[in-house]
Amino acid sequence: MSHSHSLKIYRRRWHLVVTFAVIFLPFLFIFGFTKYAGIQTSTVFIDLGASLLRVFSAYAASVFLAMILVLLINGRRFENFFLPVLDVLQSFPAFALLPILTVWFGPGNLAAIFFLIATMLWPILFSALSSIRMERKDLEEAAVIFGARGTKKLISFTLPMALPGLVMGSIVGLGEGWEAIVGAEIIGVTPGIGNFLNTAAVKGEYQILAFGIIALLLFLFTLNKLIWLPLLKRSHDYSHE
Amino acid sequence: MTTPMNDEFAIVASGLDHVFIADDGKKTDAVKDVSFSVRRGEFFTILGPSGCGKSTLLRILAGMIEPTKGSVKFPAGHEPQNISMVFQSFALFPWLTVYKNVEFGLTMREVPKHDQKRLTEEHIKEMGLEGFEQSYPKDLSGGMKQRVGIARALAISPNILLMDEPFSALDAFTAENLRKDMLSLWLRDTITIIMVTHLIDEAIEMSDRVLIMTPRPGKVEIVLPVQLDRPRNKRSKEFFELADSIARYVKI
Ligand SMILES: Nc1ncnc2c1ncn2[C@@H]1O[C@H](COP(=O)(O)OP(=O)(O)OP(=O)(O)O)[C@@H](O)[C@H]1O
Ligand SMILES: [Mg+2]
Repeated sequence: MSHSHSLKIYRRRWHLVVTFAVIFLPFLFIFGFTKYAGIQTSTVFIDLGASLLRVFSAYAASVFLAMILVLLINGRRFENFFLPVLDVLQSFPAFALLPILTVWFGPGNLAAIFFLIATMLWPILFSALSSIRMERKDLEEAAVIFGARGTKKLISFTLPMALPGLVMGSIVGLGEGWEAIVGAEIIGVTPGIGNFLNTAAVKGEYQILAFGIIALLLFLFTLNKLIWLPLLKRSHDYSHE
Repeated sequence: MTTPMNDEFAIVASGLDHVFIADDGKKTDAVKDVSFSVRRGEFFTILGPSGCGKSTLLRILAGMIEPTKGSVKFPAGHEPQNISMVFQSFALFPWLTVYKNVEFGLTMREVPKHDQKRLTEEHIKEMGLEGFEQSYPKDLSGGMKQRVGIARALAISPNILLMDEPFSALDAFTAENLRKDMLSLWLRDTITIIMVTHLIDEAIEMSDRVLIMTPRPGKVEIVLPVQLDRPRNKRSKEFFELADSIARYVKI
């Protein structure tokens, strides 16, 4: 009999060891390489930090927006009208927005964040919606007959139902988000890791370019290993009876 | 048909019709002119072949489906918010532990905290789920899952318990055990039970009266009393005779 606990996966010893190693690996790597290549360590951290800040604030905003939209759309009569509209919006290429956003907000963080939201919102929204639409009718009947109505239903039924989709969508969304931010930073949003890579490429410093790419990979691997994989496993476990 | 509202009854259904209209406009008479009343404390069974409208009828009684025509009435003290349900598919919330599943209806009804705790523990114990409080539904066998389903349904102290083929998804031994447990709970607590089944033996073993439904449209064929002494011997002559006569009314 498994007495699963919500944090059990974080408690296993090997997981702690891996976590520890995996957090320090990218840092050690960046530190070592910058010393070796004779670049200032702090500029790399600033670049990485700037990208990180953009991606995560845009991610938080996207999740918030997606949840609001999910709660507004789900089960309403206009659902069938609304979904095709959202689908058209989602197919609009976010990069096409970048010039306008840069004119409005200047080539800084704000433009980058709005651009990222336009990229990340859709996978998060659509997978959260689909995990609710796949919902088993009997679960909803049970929720309602045992008294889950209105806000109570949203909190104790709709949200838990949407959670697996939210996690799945987050993984996809963040992947697309990193792709987009590196692209935007190569085009001109500064500072940022894309900027760093572009500068290295333009100057012909291929060693530094390779190092930057490896550092980014290591970093993303860390995030996945630490946060998303355990969450995905958990949300999957608890969405199946 | 009108039935006089009387304290004797827990629920009175009159002239219920339900028509499903599919996306292509095709109409299904799932329930057609169904009237019956269930007495307080009665074990009432709705029996019929697949697709005859049993689940639809049960959901109309629960207030989950609005009937196209007709009405469902409850005498004072038997308000519809005190209706509870057990599902064929268990319908446990996979993200909640056994304890939280049983507690769900009490939390939603904002029952005082200490009563929530007492009632939840009481029903967990009653259904033999002690030691499994912190397990998740996915870790339980089918029989245990349905025990959680029943504990969750009884925890809110319902006036009327609706059960939609509660034992159909279980193996024969588990189902037999659970039927026995269910019967002794019902005998002890005198709660009104309306159960849907497609098994004649199950209907005879458990109920006071059996309503037999006929498909397309879903109409009442007949309502028969089961006048055998409890506990009922499934191998007795009377049992077989009744099963035979019920079988004659069941049309596919
Ligand atoms: N949501 C729906 N939309 C359209 N038709 C439906 C819907 N639900 C049920 N029906 C139809 O109504 C009829 C009665 O269905 P119902 O589920 O009430 O039957 P049942 O007696 O419970 O069957 P089973 O023994 O298979 O559970 C069936 O013909 C079914 O196909
Ligand atoms: Mg059914």
